[in-house]
Amino acid sequence: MRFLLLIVAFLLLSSCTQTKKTEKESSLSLGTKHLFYTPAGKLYPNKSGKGRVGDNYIYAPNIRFPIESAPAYINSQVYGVGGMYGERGSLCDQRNYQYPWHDNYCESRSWGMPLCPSGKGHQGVDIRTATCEKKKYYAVAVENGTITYIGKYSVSLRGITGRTYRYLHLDSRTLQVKRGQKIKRGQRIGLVSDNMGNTKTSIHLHFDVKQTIVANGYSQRVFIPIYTSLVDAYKRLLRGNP
Amino acid sequence: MRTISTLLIAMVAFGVSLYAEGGLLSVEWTKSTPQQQKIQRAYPDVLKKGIAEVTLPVYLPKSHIFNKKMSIVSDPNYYAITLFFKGATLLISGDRTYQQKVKSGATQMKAMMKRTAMKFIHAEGMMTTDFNRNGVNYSLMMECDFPDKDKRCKESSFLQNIYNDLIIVGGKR
Repeated sequence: MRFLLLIVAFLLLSSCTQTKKTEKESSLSLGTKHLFYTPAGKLYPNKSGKGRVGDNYIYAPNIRFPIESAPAYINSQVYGVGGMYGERGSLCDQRNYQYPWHDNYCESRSWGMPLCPSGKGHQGVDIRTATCEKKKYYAVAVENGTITYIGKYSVSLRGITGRTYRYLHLDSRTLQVKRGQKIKRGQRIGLVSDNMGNTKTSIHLHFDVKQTIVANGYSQRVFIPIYTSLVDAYKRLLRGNP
Repeated sequence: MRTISTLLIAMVAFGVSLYAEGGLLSVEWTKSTPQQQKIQRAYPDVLKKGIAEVTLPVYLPKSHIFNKKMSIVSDPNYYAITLFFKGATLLISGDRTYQQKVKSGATQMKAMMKRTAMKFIHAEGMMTTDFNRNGVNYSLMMECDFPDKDKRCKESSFLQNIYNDLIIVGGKR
């Protein structure tokens, strides 16, 4: 009886500690390489929507980081400096190119998203490259797989796990892959740019991941929260074993 | 004692929400649609060869079955067919794999994964829809060269017509 009470007390205590941890910034420093990031689901600024706070589950374990080299910055394009709802300024403002990372999965959008708390939101995350220069940094395959689709501004990779990874805004003229091509993890796909057909966007990679989840005896193919998987992948990239 | 045990089980059940193991969904094959039975002509080679190994129903809009310019990427559990239009591309894909299962105790996740009515969504400049049919999952995605001007990517009617035109053209049972 006492033993059970002790276990209950321990579990309650550890869950409280976990909650506190999720509220603060985390970091990783390896010599000259660093990463500072805010927790999954904590969107920035607060007005940008409601994320999946507390969901630290790594939905796509062991994927490679989709940008070939560090640093890269996960943050909002819409609410960042120069964005549609962001502070006035240049999209190339240095504040867009610095840590900490901010999750932007579920950021306010008008379209339906089953896994967002509001039922609507951004399907993936936006990643800026090291500097505000287009056609300089490569997006790479996050796992072995096949290129299944190439459109005007999107490329889809189906990984061997069955997940579909979508890369948006790559420069279409310098793509390194063809439809149906089998590619290896880390292999170059294309250069990050601001391509969205004739529509203006900032220089960034929109990266989203679709997979099938079974619940209630029914399956749905949904865009999964990918931020935690990317934090994990980036740490491996910084350690030199992407 | 019983209360504490229940509390412990509930905490463990809520703590972890998903099974990581993936697998294959069972295909619920149905009878051929009337439209399928009416088609007498042989399918083009690109379609026959492209879907030869696929083990789920392959859906394609009836009006595009004989479009020889389609591109197909497939394996036994998946297919992706790209149709090319002037100024736009349409991706039709089907998939019978799953990557994760929600545990019975994960009520929050189960609520989020509740079956909802199929919707046509305008996102990232594209018009898309996802739906479950025959027990497996399908997607339609329309991408335009001029996403802010082209009605096919701004309004649902074009994709809705494609969806309504879908028929089974193959798949190994």
